Amino acid sequence: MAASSAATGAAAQDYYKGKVFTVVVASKAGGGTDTTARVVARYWGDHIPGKPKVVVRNKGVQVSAANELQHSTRPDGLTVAVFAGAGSLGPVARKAKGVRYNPLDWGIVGSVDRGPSIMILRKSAHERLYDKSKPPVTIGSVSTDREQDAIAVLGGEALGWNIKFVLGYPSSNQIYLAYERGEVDMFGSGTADIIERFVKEGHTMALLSEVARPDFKNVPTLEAVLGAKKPTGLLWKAYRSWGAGAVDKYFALPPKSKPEQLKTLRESFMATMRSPAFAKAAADQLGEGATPVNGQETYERIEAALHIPDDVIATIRTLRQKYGLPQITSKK
Amino acid sequence: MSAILSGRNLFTLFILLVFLGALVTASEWPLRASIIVLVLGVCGAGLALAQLIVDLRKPRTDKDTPRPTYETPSIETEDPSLGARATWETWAWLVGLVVMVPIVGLPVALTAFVLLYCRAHGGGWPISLLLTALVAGFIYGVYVQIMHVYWPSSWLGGLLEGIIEI
Amino acid sequence: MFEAAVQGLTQLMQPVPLGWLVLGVALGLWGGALPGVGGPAQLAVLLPFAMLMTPINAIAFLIGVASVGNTGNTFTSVLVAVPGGSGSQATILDGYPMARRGEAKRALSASFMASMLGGIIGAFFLFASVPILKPLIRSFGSPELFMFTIWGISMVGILSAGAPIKGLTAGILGVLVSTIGQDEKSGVIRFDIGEPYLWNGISIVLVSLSVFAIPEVIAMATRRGKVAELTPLGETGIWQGIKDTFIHWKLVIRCSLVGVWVGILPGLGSSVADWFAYAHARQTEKNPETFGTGDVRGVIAPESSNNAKEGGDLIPTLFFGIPGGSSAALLLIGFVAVGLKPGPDIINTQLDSVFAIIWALVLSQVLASILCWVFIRPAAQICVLSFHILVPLIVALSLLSAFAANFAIEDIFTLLALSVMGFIMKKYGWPRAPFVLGVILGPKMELYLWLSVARYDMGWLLHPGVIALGLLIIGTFAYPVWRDARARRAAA
Repeated sequence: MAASSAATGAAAQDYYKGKVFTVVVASKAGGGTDTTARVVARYWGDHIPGKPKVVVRNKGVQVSAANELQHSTRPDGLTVAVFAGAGSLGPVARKAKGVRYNPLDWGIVGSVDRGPSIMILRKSAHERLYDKSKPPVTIGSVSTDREQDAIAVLGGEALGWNIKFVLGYPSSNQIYLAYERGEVDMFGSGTADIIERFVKEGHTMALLSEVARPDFKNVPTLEAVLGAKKPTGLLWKAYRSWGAGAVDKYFALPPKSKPEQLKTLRESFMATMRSPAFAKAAADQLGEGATPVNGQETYERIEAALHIPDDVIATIRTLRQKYGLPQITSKK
Repeated sequence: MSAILSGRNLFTLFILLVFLGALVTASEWPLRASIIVLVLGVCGAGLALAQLIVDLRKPRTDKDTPRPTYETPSIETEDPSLGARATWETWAWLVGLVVMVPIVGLPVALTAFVLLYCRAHGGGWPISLLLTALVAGFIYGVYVQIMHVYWPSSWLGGLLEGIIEI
Repeated sequence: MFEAAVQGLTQLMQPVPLGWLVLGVALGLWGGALPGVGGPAQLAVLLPFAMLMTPINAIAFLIGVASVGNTGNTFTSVLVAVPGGSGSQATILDGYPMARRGEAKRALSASFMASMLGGIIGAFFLFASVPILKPLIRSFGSPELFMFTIWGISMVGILSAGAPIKGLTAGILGVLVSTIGQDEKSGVIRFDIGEPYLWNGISIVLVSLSVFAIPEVIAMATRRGKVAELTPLGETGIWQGIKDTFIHWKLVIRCSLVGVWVGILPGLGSSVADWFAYAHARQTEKNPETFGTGDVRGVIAPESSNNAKEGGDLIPTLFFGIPGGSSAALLLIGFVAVGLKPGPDIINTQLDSVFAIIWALVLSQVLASILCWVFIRPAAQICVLSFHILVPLIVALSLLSAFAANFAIEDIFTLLALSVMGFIMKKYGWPRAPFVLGVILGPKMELYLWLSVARYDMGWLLHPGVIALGLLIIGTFAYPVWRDARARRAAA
């Protein structure tokens, strides 16, 4: 094993030396996916044998970027794409029309999990959350495939939350602005900086956290808030399968990439994650809760996210319709 | 008849058909997606129809077509036949360039276009080669070296790669 | 605050940060002058270098690169009618006719002076807004932003003078083209004709290249002529251009304010500042019938606005940590990487850095304009080059720019198809500016209308901001009518 690793290492060094390694980000510049990709890209080149030059490029909509990775990107080990789990896996899981890619065909290099989402609520809206005789609490949303949207729907079903989605914001940044303006009352975020900033201002509360977070110890978890009302059966499965929430930002090679190149990139990815320089930058830009996940485990999470039973898919579709959320299709 | 089937009227008719096609397509979508297309499509179709009627009732030539004040004059040339031929020839060059892009790749197609166009229209070899070198140098320096652009593979490139592998 | 301002300036006025500023400005101008190279694409390439610098050096470099692209854009917009970037499209309408009349130097000089003054005014507003930021940003929600887009769309009429039905139809067609792609709020993929390539929609860069640049290239190639052949290229003009800007100082200030507001309101986008300013100028200036024929005011208006916008853009980026667009988002990444902490606290904790940014903005604008003046004479010679030199160069630049929009080869085919339409529009007198404006504003109009109704049902119509903006829109239409009526009464 050691000898073959050395052979791979030497061959990889020769292969990558002097070359350009491109990280294609399946989103616009400045968002969570883009920021994650840039932070990783900044340090990754130092850990790939041969130290290639790493460049970052943006490629717009998740699904079209995923289609391109599947069909057009050369499997030469020099291009990797970065996706948000929710935006790229949700449409596949729901068997949406127009999806022409299969993430299970890709070489999954690894992922960065920025930390579970925390639901942020304006304090003055708290009493409206449980009182359906009052105007609903408005929740800002971008793509409605994200775990925070799933939490909101679960809150509506299990806890009787009085909520209304306002969707179509172009980015999370626009949702934060809308919150500042009073246009939305609630949103979800995994970014520690954002959560801290709003909570510190005094008129905002961290309502609950998806799971326990060491950097926000005082925030109750979803399960704690649900308590005895925690659903079982299809509703819970639908929540868990909503937007492939177990996968945050993941890095993938195109189909038919060479196994040795995947191995090299997986090893260098994890070496990058373990480096002190990256750890500091990630804490600054992605939040203290940012956690790396290796390629094999990321692949298994994607696999679990995509194999959703038909009855669960039907439940998700019904819930999306109930809350006025889009199904991603070209027809009615 | 030729006045009715003039290029001007045909273009207005094309615009009208675009709006009608959009209305038909949008009628299959949920209201949330279709409302703006339906509202604007009806307005646009109505306006295009109005323009068509105005033009049919009062045929105009290019010279007396009312123009927005900022639009620079249309193709000006002393010899009308030269104008039409030159227009078609220029479009042929453009179409040829675009057709060549997937065949030989964008960098090669552009460089060849610059050389051939300049030579074909009176440029001597020195200026033609200088321009070609300028464009090639710009593509290489900026797009390849600095921006590290990922050039899509061309048909010819794929063919050569296959031959080399054999 | 005064101490922080002095400290910020002191930090910046050291040899090393100044050196980085100069380099950043030079690169920003060069990227701006070359279609498809500047803007977020250039910033993305340079960002990794900036992230390794000390904070003050990174500030100087990044601000230098990011804030002067619109100044550099002007070269191609004026000289060859190729929009250098999203901020200089409206400049073509009068800048190119000026170049054709042999007044390229005057047009360029006026634009650089207007850019410099506009940029300084924008920086001043960034400084002045520090105490009143939060209420300022919070005043404008989706309903108010929708009214701004209505104001923008209403300019279609102004831009269609002479062909009102065609202009309005072209504007609506532009909005229709803007609906191509995935609609986030419904999930429907609209007008994709089965091609995933279209799911992203059609880039505005592509649209403006197709309807402006390529038809003008065709015209030049067809007449076998030069740019400046209506009148030979004059020897003078640089000084006249500078004087023009000061003669129309009120226009500079008004249009700069338009730009600042567009920048402050994240969500309107940088492409609209120049169009808003141009249309505002056309509406409010005397003798508006000369706009579009080579009126220097038609250059001054958009150029002062698109540089003033840079200061406005930084307001939500710095003080809320919320960038309004891709360039601002990349700047934010760079600032955070070197230790700045954009957000409401930055006023208390890093005010000296804020002032360093403001000073860098001011110095960048001045330096950029000075550098551009140096290049006016050689650049203007482009106007006398023969078509067999210019046509292939412009076509090559246009195709590269189109490709660089999304790095998709399909964009080349889309460019060709839309160019055919742009050519026919020009030939048969269909206004092209309203079409472009429709493509720019369409998505925002739909988005903000949707958000307004989703959030407030129809109650948004009674928001004070909406009513105030509605009255402003009515006022900007009524003012020229009242002015003309008064002139007629005075003549009678």
